[in-house]
Amino acid sequence: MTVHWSSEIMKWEYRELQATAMSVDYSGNNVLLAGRRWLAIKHIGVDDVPTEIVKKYPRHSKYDAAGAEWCQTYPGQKLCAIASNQHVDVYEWRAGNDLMCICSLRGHTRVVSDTHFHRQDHNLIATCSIDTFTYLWDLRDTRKPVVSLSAVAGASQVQWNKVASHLVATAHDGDIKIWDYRKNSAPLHYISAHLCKIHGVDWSPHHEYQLVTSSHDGSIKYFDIHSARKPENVIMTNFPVWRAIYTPFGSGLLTIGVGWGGLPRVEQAGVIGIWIGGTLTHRLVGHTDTVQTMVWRPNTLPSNYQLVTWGRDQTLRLWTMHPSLLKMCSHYLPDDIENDDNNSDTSYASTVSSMNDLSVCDSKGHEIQMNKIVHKTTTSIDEEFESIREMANIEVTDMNIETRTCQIHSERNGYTANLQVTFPRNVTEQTIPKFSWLSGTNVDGATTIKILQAINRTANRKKKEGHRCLLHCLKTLATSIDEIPVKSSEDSDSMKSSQRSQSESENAGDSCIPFPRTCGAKWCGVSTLVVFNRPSNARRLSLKHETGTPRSMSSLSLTPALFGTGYTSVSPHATTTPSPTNASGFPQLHHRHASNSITTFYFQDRWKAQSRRAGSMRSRGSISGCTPPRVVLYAASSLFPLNRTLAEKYYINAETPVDMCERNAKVSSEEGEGELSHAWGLAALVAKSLAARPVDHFISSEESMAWISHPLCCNLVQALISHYAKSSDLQMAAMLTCAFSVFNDTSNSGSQSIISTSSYGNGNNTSPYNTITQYSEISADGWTLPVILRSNSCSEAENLNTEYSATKSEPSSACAIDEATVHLYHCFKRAYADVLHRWQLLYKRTEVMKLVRCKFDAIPAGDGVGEAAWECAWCGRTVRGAACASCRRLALRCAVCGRGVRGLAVACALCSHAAHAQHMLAWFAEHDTCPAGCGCKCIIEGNSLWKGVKYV
Amino acid sequence: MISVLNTIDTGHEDMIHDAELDYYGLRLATCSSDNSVKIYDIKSGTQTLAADLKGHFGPVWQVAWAHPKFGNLLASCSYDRKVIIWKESGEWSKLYEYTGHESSVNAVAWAPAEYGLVLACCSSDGSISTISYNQDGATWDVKKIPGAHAIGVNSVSWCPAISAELSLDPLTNKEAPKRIVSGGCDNLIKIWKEQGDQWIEEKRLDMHMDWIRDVAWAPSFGLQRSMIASCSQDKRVVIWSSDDNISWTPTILNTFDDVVWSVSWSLTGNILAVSGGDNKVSLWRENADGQWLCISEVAKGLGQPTNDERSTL
Repeated sequence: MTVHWSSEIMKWEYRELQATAMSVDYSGNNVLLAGRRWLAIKHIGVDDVPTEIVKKYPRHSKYDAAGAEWCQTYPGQKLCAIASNQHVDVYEWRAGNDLMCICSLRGHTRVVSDTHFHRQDHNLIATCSIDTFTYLWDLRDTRKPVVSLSAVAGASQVQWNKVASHLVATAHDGDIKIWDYRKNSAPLHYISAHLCKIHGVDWSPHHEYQLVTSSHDGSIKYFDIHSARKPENVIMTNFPVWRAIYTPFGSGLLTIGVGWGGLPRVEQAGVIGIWIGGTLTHRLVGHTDTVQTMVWRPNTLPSNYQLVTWGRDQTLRLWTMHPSLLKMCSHYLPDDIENDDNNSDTSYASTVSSMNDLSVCDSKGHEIQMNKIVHKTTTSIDEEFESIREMANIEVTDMNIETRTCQIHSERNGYTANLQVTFPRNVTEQTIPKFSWLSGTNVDGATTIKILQAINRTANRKKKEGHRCLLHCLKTLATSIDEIPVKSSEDSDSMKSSQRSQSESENAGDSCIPFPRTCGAKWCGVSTLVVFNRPSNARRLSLKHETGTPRSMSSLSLTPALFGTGYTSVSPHATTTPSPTNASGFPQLHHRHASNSITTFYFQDRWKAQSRRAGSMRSRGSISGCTPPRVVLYAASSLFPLNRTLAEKYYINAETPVDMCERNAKVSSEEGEGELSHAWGLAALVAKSLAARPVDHFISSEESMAWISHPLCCNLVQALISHYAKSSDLQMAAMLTCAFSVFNDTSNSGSQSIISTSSYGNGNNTSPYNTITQYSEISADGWTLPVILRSNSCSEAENLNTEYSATKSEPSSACAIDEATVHLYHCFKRAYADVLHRWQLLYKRTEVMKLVRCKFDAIPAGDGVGEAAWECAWCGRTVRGAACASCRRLALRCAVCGRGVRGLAVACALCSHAAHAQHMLAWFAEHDTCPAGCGCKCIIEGNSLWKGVKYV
Repeated sequence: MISVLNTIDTGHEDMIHDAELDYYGLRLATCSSDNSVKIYDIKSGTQTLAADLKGHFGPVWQVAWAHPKFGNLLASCSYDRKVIIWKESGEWSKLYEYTGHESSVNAVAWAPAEYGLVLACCSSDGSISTISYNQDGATWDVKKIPGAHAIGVNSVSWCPAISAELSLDPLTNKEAPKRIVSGGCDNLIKIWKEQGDQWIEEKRLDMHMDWIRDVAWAPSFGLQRSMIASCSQDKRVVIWSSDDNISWTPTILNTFDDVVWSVSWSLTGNILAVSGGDNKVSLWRENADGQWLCISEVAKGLGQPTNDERSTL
């Protein structure tokens, strides 16, 4: 779409006033221009002679007027406020002649950045300042503010909601706070809106809950205050946006930028852009320098909206909106039936011609004469309200004759619509009520605008016909909502996600991201404490109203140090808020980079001091000059009963528990661990008694029973183990369970033969994703084939898990421990193995892991454990157990003695012939070829096969 | 008493947000607001910079080492909404980049090695993701818990695989039910259990009065008792203990002077390190009566060069 442009319809130039602020009064006919030396009130009317003079009032102040504002209520229409340095002067324009200062609001300690009269109560005015406070004043008692809203960052804007009278929005650097002034302790909503300073905030005229922000980062964002995390919509421009305001009609947006998208700044400085549906569709061209203020002229006809602007080129201009523009904003045109065709093709040059049917304004002020006087009977507000009482599907939630408002609630098809209807006070026959959406409405923005226009159209038609309109308007509302396609849950979801992805390019709102950690301690390895924290010279920025460290990252954006180059150090002249009036124009563009923020947060003092000293802008956020961040590792091994030296020296051999205990007792006493040595001594005693058990077989069973319950038996060991486990001495607990693992065995090993299986993990640690090759052997009667099983389980990378096999069948009833305890003991061993692994004591680890037994020991669980398969010596089937399932004989046959193999077997890696381990050893003591007669030189060739394999 | 083992000048250009030693304690990974991750080889009091990993475009919040049996893998998460898994094969390079979150990713945690190569990460977009490496296709499978915590998830921690449950094979613990504990901005701690293909919310623990900043499931070596430590913006640290992973009993460890940022359990699960906004680190141990006592505290200035060599906790 091409961008149209149009010029102003009126222009006045007032160089001598040097005005820096402008405002239009309630009637829309008087413009206040405020400068350092003069206040001037200019009467504008469409038929005015452009040079017609103004009333000038001298103002003697050394400060520029940072803001000027007329009160926009009927009773207060003579009031205006001028912000000047730290105070705000309220003037009354008496009898259209005399401009008197009636009071001065003094309370702010820094320059006042914005003022805003309450939209209903003319006695109430909000002022905000970069001293971080926003005050509400009652003009009847101006000694001190009635309400004080405090924030941590200076406020640049204050705006009353256009629909709800209690809501006020303030802008603080990159964030927006929404307040209910009746509850002033904390904001209702907090919107982390922009990365840079927000220059302008404007509430939607149609929605209670929508506002638009414009920022120095070049973006314009629409927010729903109830879902403030993500903007409803974002317009990206490539220039800083000074103001963005809603059009009072439809869904448009007006912007003032500094510099203009891609165009040289000088040429385009004074251009006002009109955006419709996110695209720039129109430009208002005329100002030769930056536009400072733009306001919609109040009390104009719906068909004839006018804009009043004041620019740095010292000109006051008046603009009209072309009807086709209104149409594009999907604004209803009151008489669109008549001039529908005309409009569509009229060129923009004809703008002025549309001036003909403009309203003629009365110079006296508030009363507007309509050019089409309509007659008919007057309908009172009571009648209007009465008419809607018995409507179906519509609920009247609030009705107030005083304020001439009523609130409507309607729910249809899953859509909720909350509408507020306000009847203007000074009604003429044709004035239609003002409809606006309230919170809780879940119809999307574009549709609400469409519905609103439909309602307005109905209202306008009915008014023209001289009827009550409210009832019909609500009917229109109901039908409009019915016409919205019913949303299915999927649709709304997908819509949401698409919206989300759209807004994703923007920051998602730092207010939900936790405040960065700058101090931490982590236990790593076995007993190392890794600590990092801030250098001691870092001092946190003190936040007045918060105790402790803030919780979210958005707090970083509130630090005043981030914007401007130190408000404190500059002369008071320059301490006005950054605005186009300042010679330097806009503040420097500071990207709010989180890394800068966090450092600035802690090193703010330092930075301030330095910048003050240096008097220059040094790069912010750099921590040069502060100690570089460091990490300290603490050895805390003394806090833990884990001893690496002991672990290294401990002797593990579960086969000979007595020996193991005695040797370990010695080792620990050598290491000066007297207590442990003592415990090992006790364990040795138990081991001795237990080892002596087989001899006791011949003793009567009574005695045997007694022995089991003897305190020196298992109870002692168990007590020891649980003692060490409770005191977190994992090492000792695990070592004791290792020593007594033989006795822990609950399986009735006597009845079951255990075939030893070996799995050799190809433990190449650096490439863990390699499929691990496992060699296992098939041994048949005569000829065998090596089978390579491929594994794809990570856990098989556990290197060299050789399952321990109990060759001796212990009388298992000797020391019955319940299953749970056995399991627990295995867990100890596993955990200890992990510790050993971390210590890189890999052989010790393997020894411990060997003692970890699976409960389902005969059949290793699936692919979890290394597994061997062999060919049945009789039928040739591949067998995974001791005995072949089909021929019910022991599957593996010893190559030496020819009998079935139970217990340990050894296989040649090359020819895969297997035999009893003992037989094999005996055989190869004398021979070097395979006992099966295959000719394989097992010792020589078999060994060389393993050379390439590295055990880790 | 514990003594300084090593002091590492990280050379980061901005504040550090996390530091972790690898499994063997030989390498240190640090991450910072300068958008980089650095890896140092630590050897007997000296350190050498092994790698400076640049791939994030925002402050990096956390790093985590994987179990070495998967190779040298490091995961990092950042404000830029990304999780990067780095791998050393000669040089350090990006192995995988996960971009499934819509807001800052606040924490990453590797699952116990028994479960395979699985990473949990949580984000300010309110969701938790688990990314698991699928060896067959050399691909990464992603599972997501959307809307795990309103506003955002700040921390995640895995339940240890070594478990007291009897039905499990102690050697592998493959079948152990996978559990995750998470803490978020809704002031809640939630325990998630994997059931089939999904993560089911098993339990929610409600005690804190402000955002949860960190949760840590204590390593257990098979004892019945499970423990979870949680810390919060409300300046409190709470120890949750349970015998069955179903009913949890809270104990307030302490209320600190400032917000508490992190809790960390020692390997044997009996000492808890606590650190927070006041720049202090303290160590806590439970005595025989079940009371938690502070066994040492570092006041401040840990990084100060002057008392570095002498400083003891």
